[in-house]
Amino acid sequence: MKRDNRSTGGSRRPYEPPLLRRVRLVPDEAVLASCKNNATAGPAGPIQKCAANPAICSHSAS
Amino acid sequence: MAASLVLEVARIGLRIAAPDPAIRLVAEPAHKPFLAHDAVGDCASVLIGPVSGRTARRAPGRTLFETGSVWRLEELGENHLLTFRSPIFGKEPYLSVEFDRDYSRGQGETLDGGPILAAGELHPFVYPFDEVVFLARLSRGRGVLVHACGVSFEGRGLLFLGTSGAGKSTMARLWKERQGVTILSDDRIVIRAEAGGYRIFGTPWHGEAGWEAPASAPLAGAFILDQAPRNAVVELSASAAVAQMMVRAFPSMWDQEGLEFAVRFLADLADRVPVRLLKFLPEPSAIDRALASIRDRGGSVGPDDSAHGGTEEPR
Repeated sequence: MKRDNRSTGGSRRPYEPPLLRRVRLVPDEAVLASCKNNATAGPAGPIQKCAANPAICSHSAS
Repeated sequence: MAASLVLEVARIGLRIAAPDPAIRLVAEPAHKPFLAHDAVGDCASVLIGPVSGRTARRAPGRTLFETGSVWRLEELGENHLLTFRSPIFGKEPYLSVEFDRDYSRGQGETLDGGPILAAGELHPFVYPFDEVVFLARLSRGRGVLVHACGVSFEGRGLLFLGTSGAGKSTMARLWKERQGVTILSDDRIVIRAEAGGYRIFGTPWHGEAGWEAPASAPLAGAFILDQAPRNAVVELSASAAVAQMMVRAFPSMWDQEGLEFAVRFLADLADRVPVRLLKFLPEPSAIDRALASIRDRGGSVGPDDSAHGGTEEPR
């Protein structure tokens, strides 16, 4: 296992006991299935879900 | 010879050619700065023509991944088939591309009169096709695409990671007001390992602010964005840093090897580069706070009012 030397001058990183973490994933974004801004949408404009029904899309800008 | 365009992102190329010389290939405005005019060593080649029925004649493959309505990945013998759909263009895919397992060669067909091909023009770099191909190639040991604003400042690369609405474009606007800053992207950054560390690269897949640049910088620090009533930089444990980066990355969810690569990659990165939580107000002082924490790598950072911070909820 790699050792942390980023702030301790090469000494070992403190031991971290096993820990279950919960982090929030935005599934549509994580798999490139959300809407994207117009600049990369091509000549037909946005073609994803927001184009068919803007009301269901809350993040068409990024 | 067939017409072609080569998109180069993070020293990785994607050449798109049309079989019919009469078809004109066109890059979207955001992609034009990323077109390669010289040979790219690490380059995939894809031929895309009008629908011929070739894909439709193939027996359906085993579905490896399904996003719901936007794109799907199937296994076709030794190859992978990517199909893209839009409610605007009906139930059939507007684009189908069959790749080898390395995503180094592909052959596809697209609906004439669809979003990719119309009036004799082929627009191959339409979201999400090119991005999906790049992240598939990145997952083969090349690097990781993250949801982040990235800047180059005084020869150092800084990353600000966040999902939609976290403040990436806001951060880009704040940086834009400073002299000597290159905004690599306000939404998507590629991280690759290099001798002695990591390098971040701009991509054409920009966000709301619309900034991108085909440039790169050695990574000096990464911040998880967290809007707050005051500015503070909070240390993260290595495992928390990896978890927070992982949910702001675009690993190949359909591929165990690719997923494992992304986790290893980000774990190694967290070992070697400071990854911290940036609680911030949308004002220039937030940048000063982040810079101060990078200049002071000894660990004297802001008020530590959260051991883990952000959206993480240890249980």
